[in-house]
Amino acid sequence: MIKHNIRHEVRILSRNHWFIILTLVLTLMCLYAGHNGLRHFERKQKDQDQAIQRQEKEEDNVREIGLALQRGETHPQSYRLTPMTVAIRTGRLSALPSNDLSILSIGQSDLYRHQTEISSSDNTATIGFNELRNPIELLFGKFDVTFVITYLIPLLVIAFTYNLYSSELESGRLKLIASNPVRIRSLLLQRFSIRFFSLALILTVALAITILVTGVVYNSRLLLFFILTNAYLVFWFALSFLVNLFGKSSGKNVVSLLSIWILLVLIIPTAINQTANTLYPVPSRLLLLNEIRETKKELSKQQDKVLDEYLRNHPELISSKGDRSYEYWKGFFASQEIMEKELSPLTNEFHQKLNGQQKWVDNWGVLSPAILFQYGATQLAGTSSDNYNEFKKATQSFSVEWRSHLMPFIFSNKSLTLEDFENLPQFKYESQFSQAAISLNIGVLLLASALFVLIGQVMERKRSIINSK
Amino acid sequence: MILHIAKKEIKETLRSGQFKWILGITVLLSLVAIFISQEQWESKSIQREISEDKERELWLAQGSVNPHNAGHYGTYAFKPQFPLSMIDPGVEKFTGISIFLESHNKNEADNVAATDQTGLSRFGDLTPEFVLLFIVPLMIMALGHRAITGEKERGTIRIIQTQGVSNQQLIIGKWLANYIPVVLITSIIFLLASIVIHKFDWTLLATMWAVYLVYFAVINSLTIIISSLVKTSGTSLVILLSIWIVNCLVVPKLVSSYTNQEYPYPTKQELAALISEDKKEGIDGHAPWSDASKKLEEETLKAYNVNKLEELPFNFDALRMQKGEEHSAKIYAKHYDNLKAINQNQTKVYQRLAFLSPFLPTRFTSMTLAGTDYNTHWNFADQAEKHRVEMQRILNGDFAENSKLGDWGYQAEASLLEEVPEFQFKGTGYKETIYAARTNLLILSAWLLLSTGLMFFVSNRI
Repeated sequence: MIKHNIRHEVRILSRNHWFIILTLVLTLMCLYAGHNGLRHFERKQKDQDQAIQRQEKEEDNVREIGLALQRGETHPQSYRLTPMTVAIRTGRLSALPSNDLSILSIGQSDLYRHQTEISSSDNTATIGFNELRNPIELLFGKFDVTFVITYLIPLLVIAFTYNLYSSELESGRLKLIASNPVRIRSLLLQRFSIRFFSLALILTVALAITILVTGVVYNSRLLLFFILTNAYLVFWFALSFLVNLFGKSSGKNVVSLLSIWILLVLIIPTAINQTANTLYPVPSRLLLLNEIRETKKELSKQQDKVLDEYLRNHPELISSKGDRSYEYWKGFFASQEIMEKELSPLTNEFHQKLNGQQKWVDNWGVLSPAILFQYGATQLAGTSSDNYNEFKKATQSFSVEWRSHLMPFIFSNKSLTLEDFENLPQFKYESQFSQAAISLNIGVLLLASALFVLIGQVMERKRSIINSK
Repeated sequence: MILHIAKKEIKETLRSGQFKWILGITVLLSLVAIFISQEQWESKSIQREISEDKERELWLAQGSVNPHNAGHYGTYAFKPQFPLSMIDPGVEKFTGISIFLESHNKNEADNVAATDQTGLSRFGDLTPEFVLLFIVPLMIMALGHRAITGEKERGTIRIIQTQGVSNQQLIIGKWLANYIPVVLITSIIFLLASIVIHKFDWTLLATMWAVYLVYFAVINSLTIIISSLVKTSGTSLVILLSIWIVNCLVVPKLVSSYTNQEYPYPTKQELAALISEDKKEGIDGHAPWSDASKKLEEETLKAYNVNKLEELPFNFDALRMQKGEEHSAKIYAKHYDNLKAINQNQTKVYQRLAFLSPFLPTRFTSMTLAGTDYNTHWNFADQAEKHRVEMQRILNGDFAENSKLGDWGYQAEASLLEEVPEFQFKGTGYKETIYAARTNLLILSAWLLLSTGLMFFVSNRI
């Protein structure tokens, strides 16, 4: 039976011009989207490489001076090894390596830079991460593979399945089939499954070509991406299956399916986003600016007091030497630390509110498969807002570590030796993704699909019992 | 005759359950959107006012201070929140609303609101503009896709034709019948918005209302065209929805990706590198040993006919600082002009490709009218830069006049800070706003003409 069915479906599909055209269109769209992603990725990569090179050059420069001083020579730029110059001018580069899956899923990466110079002249609360962009481009968003899958694939599913049941009913073939010794519901399920496998195959091939062309490396992340994509596909097939059984006519089916699409892909995400912003409003950034400036002013007025207070907390830094040339810098760095402490309630509120928003989105996101898919895909690609917030946090805490590492040098009025310089803390960061969260999303999609199919089966069984009576 | 048809159709629409559902959903979404947007607008507006006042207070509270230190302490320029941004927040979320004004450096606007949201923000926000641009067109299509196909399916089209009704009359009647409820809903949305918005310009709001009505007229004509061309209501709806998806989602994304590849912006890092490269060559206020500074020294001594800098009637350090300011301001102007040129090229691509989607010219015009488009942001950034340069001139001027060479400990009177004016953004007037939107308005009008023309053309093929 199933053999017949497969042969029948394959024949129908291969003779359907629309199916062939759409397959081509899908492949082209994936390729173009992949091309966009690749260009974006390469540009980011190039930018980062340049930054790393510049930083290395800067550090080599200092190293050379250090080497000369170690040999006992004098060097006109020996000031480059004073702790404040190292802290501010040499600094460090915090870099977020791009994950090559971001070619398929650009996510938030068009909003941010992937590297930032860490310099102790900055306030950690105001380190800039934004990339220079035409805001219109950000408003419209990028045409990437994730967009094609999230928005357009469901429509393809709808186009190929909306009338699988109703057309049989409308053409009168259903009665004919019913007179044969086959169960309608298993026949329909088979037809859906065959169509699902054909579309999954086409999508996989289209994606595989894109991946080959763009050079995404095969790894476990990519495998998860494929599973997630297929789970998303299953969801829409199952939904269409249910609607097919519920629906009376092809016309009504397509209307209901498209309405559901609009609801799930367009309205629910925007509504959840808007409620998250309303329920967890982030405090005003402008207010933070005011606070920073006010604190700065207070602290600069009481520079001596600041230093006293700071040394009370850090008695190990009190130096016995009488050299006063570093005095200004002591106050400068000490007030930075105090300022961070004073601002921390406000900066923490930012984190809390953002976490609140994310939790809200995570909880209500199950209402929309589009959210589940998009979240999973951007997580895998390391381009979700979570990833960037983690990176920001890592950068900020490294910036604190950097300064506190150099503090003892400043307070003991001494320059760094070459060895000290080599032992400075290094910034290391690798974006993490939670396999559990993505598996959960896949699970939810599959569970919902199973539920749809089950409801459909039960309904059809009831209907056939009633009919047979 | 036309009116008869329209009247009958409207009556039928009003009675149908489908209409009530669609209307209910649209009105509900609009209400929620207006309510939430108003709430957020209000709180942002209050925040901005508080920050602005506080910032001025902080600036003045410096008291007696060295002018150059005051320049480094700097101040902020705030972009006002325009009343109509409640309807269309435009690119505001991505541009930032405040710019730090300090000595030596021009800064980008910071506080990009989009970074304080989850990734979901990229799906869009539920604002009145979202309802108008995305949902109302859907409503038009859902209500109108059957306009002609319904008659064909029922076979009533032949009967109508025997009544002596021309196809044109029929089409105009159907068009009106589908359009009038939309006009009503749009008017209600704008009326509600006008009640909750404070102090707005009626002419701008009315223009915005008219622009959206033109957009809806275009969508309505497209709906009738498709309904006339195809045989069944199902096909008609599917084609219309494809048009909707291409118009609202696919084309904007495609165009923005394409534009950015044709005319890419430099990255922040590249721009900074270019600027610092240029800066190296000129006068730096803090580098008296540079060649450019030496040259300035010689020229100044010659002009005043003295031998030593100490003999000059003003503080030469301050003059050098001011010359450095002027030099860097020129460099910034050059590089930001380049950026503007790239943006203009990008804008042209958007306009050239607007024939693919009436969504684009509507979106841009709406933002321009609301004062939330990219040009307004450029305007803000330019004014802020001008303010920054002027501020440095005042500060350095005082420094030069009232202190001696090498007197870095000089403290100016507190009243100097008052002399630096508060930043005030000057928005454009109605005429200028319309002028700024002229190309998009033209494209939208072309869409209206073409779509209605085509509608009459295909009426012969019913």
